[in-house]
Amino acid sequence: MTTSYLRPTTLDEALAALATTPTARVLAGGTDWMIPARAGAVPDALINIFRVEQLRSIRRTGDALELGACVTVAQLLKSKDVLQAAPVLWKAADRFASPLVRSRATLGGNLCNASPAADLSLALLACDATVTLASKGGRRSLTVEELVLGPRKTALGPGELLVGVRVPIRAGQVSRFEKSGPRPALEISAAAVAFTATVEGGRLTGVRIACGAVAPVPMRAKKAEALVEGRALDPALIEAAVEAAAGEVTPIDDVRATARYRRRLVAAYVRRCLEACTDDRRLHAAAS
Amino acid sequence: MQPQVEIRFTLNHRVVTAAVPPTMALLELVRDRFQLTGAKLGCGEGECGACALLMDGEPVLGCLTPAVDADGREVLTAEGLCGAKGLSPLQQAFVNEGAVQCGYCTPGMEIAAEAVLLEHPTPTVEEIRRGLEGNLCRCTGYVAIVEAVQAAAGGGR
Repeated sequence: MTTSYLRPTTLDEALAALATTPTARVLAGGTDWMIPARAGAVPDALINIFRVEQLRSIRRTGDALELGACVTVAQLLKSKDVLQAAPVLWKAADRFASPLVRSRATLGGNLCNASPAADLSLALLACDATVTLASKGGRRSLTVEELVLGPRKTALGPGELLVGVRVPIRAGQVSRFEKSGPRPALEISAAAVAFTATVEGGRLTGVRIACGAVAPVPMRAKKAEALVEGRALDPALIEAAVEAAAGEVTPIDDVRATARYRRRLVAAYVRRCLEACTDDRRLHAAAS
Repeated sequence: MQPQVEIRFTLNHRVVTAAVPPTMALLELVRDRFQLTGAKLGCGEGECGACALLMDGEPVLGCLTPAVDADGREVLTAEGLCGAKGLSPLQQAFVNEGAVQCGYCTPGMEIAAEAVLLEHPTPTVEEIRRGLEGNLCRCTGYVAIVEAVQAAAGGGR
């Protein structure tokens, strides 16, 4: 079968191309795609959106950070706006693969690849981000939970393209990103936790505890979140939340870790995140 | 049959053209079509950095970058770091500091190190280590490699 290759330079061209060939594979940086492609998995049609400038912008508006789908991980790391307005996303980017991958891997690619271990998706889940899907017919907005349906499975319809991500800015937010691995670089998470909250007068509000690589999709530990929401933390409450989080994740045994070990990692990370909120010095570090 | 995409780009300071299928990796293009065999195929999945190349000054993996994306860009391999007079100061520092053992990782290390120096002309040890975190050396030569980058930075680049 003949493969067609298109490299649109504008978003309109990209959406028109996708409307004409809705089964086309969309290519961004290619860091996930090249491995199966080189092994011979050639798609019917390929639309390369990596050079669409409209999809490469990082914009801070009054109450949100607007990120284009083809913003690379390297761009996230270089952005002061990302560091200040979405620190948990910056921290996930800082632990993402290596500089050689970060220069090409994109935000949209990490979301649409829909890996259970996607670190950026996890961070976006912890900051209540929404994604914008566009097609020739119009636009719609979804949460990360609505977008990612299962391993390698998203809610993107035929002819639809993920064009951007919106992260609401929450003042006074603290955050942490915890991820397993013997060294910081090039680690595919065996388990990861992205945490955000607002701490006021010793009480946590807007608590988000997102857990990665411990369920078919990045998931929020909502029972644990509910336990600590609006409360002042004490050691017993922290332990209750830790237990709740370890209980509500649904990890599997695989080549990277056993389910049992993954639960223990989640417990350790959630404990670390919550304990940091009770300690002014660590709280300050988590806020940066 | 895959389509052949015509691309035109700068490879080691020289404008070149090629017709490539969309699934070809940039590494195969520079090695097999242009006989620039410095960059190596190590793991083929982004774990080792032996295939590192500079694209518009950014370090990329030759094995995971589609060759079609080189179109209109400037690509530099380890061979391209050399000047008219031979080795670049960074490459000479690798020799002086004994940062080469078997040599398989060296072209990728040089490219990653060059990217560090482009971003941080006088890098800290931490910045060098972070910059090289995607490059594996299996002869255990990291200390000498970091020292070579420090020496190059201090040597009036």
